[in-house]
Amino acid sequence: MSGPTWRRYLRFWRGNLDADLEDEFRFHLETEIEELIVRGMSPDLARAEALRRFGDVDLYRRYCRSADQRRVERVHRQENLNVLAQDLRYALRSLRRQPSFTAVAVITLALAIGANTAIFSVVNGVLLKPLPYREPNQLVMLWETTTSNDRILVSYQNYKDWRVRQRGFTDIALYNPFPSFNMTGQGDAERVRGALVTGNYFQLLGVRSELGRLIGPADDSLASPRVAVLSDGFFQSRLGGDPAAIGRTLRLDGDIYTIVGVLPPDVRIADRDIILPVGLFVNDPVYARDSHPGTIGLARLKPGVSLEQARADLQRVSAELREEYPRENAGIGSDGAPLMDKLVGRIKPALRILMIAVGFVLLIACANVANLLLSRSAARQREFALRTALGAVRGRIVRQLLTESLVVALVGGILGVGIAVAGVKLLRSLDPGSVPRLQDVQVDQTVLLFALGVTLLTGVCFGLVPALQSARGQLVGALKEGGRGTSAGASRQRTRATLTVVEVALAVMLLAGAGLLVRSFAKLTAVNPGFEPAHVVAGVVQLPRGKYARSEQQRAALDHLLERVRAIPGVERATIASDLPITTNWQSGVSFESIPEPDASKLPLLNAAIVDPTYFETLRITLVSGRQFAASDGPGQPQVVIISQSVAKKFFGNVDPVGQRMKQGLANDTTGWRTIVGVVAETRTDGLTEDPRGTFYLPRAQEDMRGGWLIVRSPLAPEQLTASLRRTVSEVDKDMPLARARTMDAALDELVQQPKFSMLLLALFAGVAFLLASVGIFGVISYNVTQRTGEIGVRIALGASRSNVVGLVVGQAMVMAGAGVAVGMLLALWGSKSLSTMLYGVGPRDPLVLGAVGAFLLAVALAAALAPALRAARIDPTIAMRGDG
Amino acid sequence: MAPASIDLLQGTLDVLVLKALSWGPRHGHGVARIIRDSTSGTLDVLDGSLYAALHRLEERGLVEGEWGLSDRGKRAKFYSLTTAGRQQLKAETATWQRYVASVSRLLTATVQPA
Repeated sequence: MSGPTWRRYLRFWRGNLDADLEDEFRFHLETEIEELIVRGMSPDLARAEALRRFGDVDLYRRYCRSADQRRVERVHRQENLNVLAQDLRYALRSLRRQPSFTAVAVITLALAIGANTAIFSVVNGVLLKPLPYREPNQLVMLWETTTSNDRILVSYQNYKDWRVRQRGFTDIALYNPFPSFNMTGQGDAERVRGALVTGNYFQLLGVRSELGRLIGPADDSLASPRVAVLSDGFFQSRLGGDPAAIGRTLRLDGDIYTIVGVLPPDVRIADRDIILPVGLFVNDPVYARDSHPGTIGLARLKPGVSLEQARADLQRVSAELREEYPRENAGIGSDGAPLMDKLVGRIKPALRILMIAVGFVLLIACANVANLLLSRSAARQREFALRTALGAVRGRIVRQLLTESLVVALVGGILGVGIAVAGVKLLRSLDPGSVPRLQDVQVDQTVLLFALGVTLLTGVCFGLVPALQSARGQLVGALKEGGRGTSAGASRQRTRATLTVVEVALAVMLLAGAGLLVRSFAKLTAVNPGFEPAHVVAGVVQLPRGKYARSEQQRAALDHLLERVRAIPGVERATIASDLPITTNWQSGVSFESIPEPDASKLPLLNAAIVDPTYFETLRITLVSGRQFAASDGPGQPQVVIISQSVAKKFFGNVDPVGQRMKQGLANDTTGWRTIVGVVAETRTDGLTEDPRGTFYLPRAQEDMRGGWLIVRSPLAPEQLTASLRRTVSEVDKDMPLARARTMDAALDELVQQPKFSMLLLALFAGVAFLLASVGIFGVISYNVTQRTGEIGVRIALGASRSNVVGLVVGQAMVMAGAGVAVGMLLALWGSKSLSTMLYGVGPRDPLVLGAVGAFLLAVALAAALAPALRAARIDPTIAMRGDG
Repeated sequence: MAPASIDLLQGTLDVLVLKALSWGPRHGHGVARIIRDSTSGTLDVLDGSLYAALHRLEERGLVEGEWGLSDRGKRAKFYSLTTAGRQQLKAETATWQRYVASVSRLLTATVQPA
């Protein structure tokens, strides 16, 4: 607490304490000396005796001085507390007296502070909170590269060489978050999502087990006993959190694994449930050197080594491996980036935009409440003038007003935290997985501190301007009966108009941003996926390992499954494929017979999919030329392939590719040529915003296939259909579950989750901002009308028509709104560039969006001004001019 | 802060000062005179430590200082008991008397207590 009061005390006390003490001691000594002289001592002796009796003067002076100091400080504190208590009492009383003002101000602030706190808790949980690992800043994610693709998964054999030869990292681990397993022996067969990790993985992260132990180097070989570590979520939900589960077994893909430990709740390996050592599987051909199967590298930088140095060193190792394995490693390089960036980098721009957006909402709320306070302080002008006349210092009045605004802010802040808690819950439910680490988001201590800071800042921000304005009020003018139109009033008017222009400008920016995202989202969802998603349900099936060893058995089992599914009443079409038409998890370099390419690293990379002949008709993917796969494209028959339209266009131009030949790998590889028999329409395999890379399809009968997506078209209700599918699948093999069942519409929807999340939030905040700005315009205009009642009365008396008056008032509003819109447009043009990474199919300066937003806000300003304008036009001049307004 | 010799006497000295002020406001020199006269010099109290006691008591709100004029017309700081000081004196006096009574009972006893 500062202010003139404090300074006055300071001057009063500090100056006197020392002098007083000096006076007191001198008085004592002089009196003592006088008395001793009276008793007959010589002055010199008397003086010496008095000093002797007193003791060490300097010591006692210091002692007394510090006692005095403490006493004075306590008095100050008491004084300040008293003033604060008085201010608080007064503030509460005066706020209670104007419940509607208080309610509007508190709600406005609660909304703004709530929105800020909620978004900050997301920023805090996702971006700021360190990962739950030891020294998380040293962790680096590693991957491999090809000449045409700057990010592919890591070959296990290359990884093993990396580990031995590199020098920049203390260690490198590998994890594969993609496998899933058929879990049997615990009720119905079920597909569970797992992860494979190397034995040094947990050690490298610095993670300790919650229970039991984690996977270590001894578990990571073909000869090791099979062990599994569980996620806390799986342990709690499936095993009831029972510690006795340690040591029990799980049956996964027919193999028995012993549960050895549970991960801490905050450690999630890509949200997988079951973690196994990768070493148990390295016999699998996917762990050959030329295979890049779902494996991601994770490394810890050596202290003192920069990421750049470590990357360069790893790239040196990759260059060696290219030399040593020219066939397998042609064009293969390596790269890395900080783990945190990789985990949350994609969501960062969206969160930054949202944080700015809620900041704007807060500014608008401040402007609004400041406006409210200004009109309120105008009404209280007489009160302040009176108090000044009665001796209140200006600082005291400013302090009183600030106390009031801080009380309003604090109440708003408390409600705001409540809103934030609810908001965070809403955010979590709104997003089913597009925002990384969203589970870490909560209203914790950091967030509460942030909310408190914002609240106090807000209270001072919106309170200071009106408080200073009020304290400047003119004594005489305000005290005079009906005193109006003083210069303080005019400056208050200007302040209010400025605040309103700022509000409108901010609202324009937010609405423009939200408009752009909405338009972009509309374009995104209107993208033609290349197939008809309605009435299609899909789910993953995987033949249990151990059974169906030979290709023919697998083929027969899947044939049987499809037959049974097609027999379900209501099923129109059923097919099976290695991928959905919206995803791809298999790319392959290809050669065309007519376009020889000798350099393996320059082979065009295409998406590949294995499909049943009924795939295209089930999904209604248009056949552009040639034919679909047929039953005759069997195992022993000539090998065939179907390509998508973009592949045909890119490599064959206007020539019909049907009849041409292509193969996987180099032209002189031993694999056989495949004849292109058809061209089909493109599907959005690489996401909605990316141009598809192009796909080639292989017939199921000519490939190995142990499972994939079962895709069914049926007018049945999805839940009913899914239930029937589940039953049928388990009837075909009781150890085979149907996993990840969803409608194609839902699968498409998942692709747009993150843009949808950003769009919904920004639209929400823009809506709030817009509402607040409208209230602001309305408040300022109607207050102006009230203030100018007398003047308007005179105008009417002098012959101004009602429409003149309406025009006057509306004109004033439109000038303010126009200025705000103009400023906001300029700011939006300047700022919308930051949105460009989040936009699809619409430019950051889309004239349609900006125009619509501007027109919309002007229309709202017009509407907000009309009610006060009409009121002004109805003013009775005789009453108005009598003066009281 | 206070020298060790003051600490030893502190509690007792405080009560004596309070007592000296119980007959009305006095300046520091007056307090010193009362204590010196009434104890006939048995207690050798340095005047400085009296002032330390006065300021300490003022800090604790047991006495109140106010500037006035001495009987010889000089500016002097007069101390008086506050309500809290008066209560403190009462309580301390009672404690002191109990203490003295117990100690003297033992010291004057002629028969060994059972």
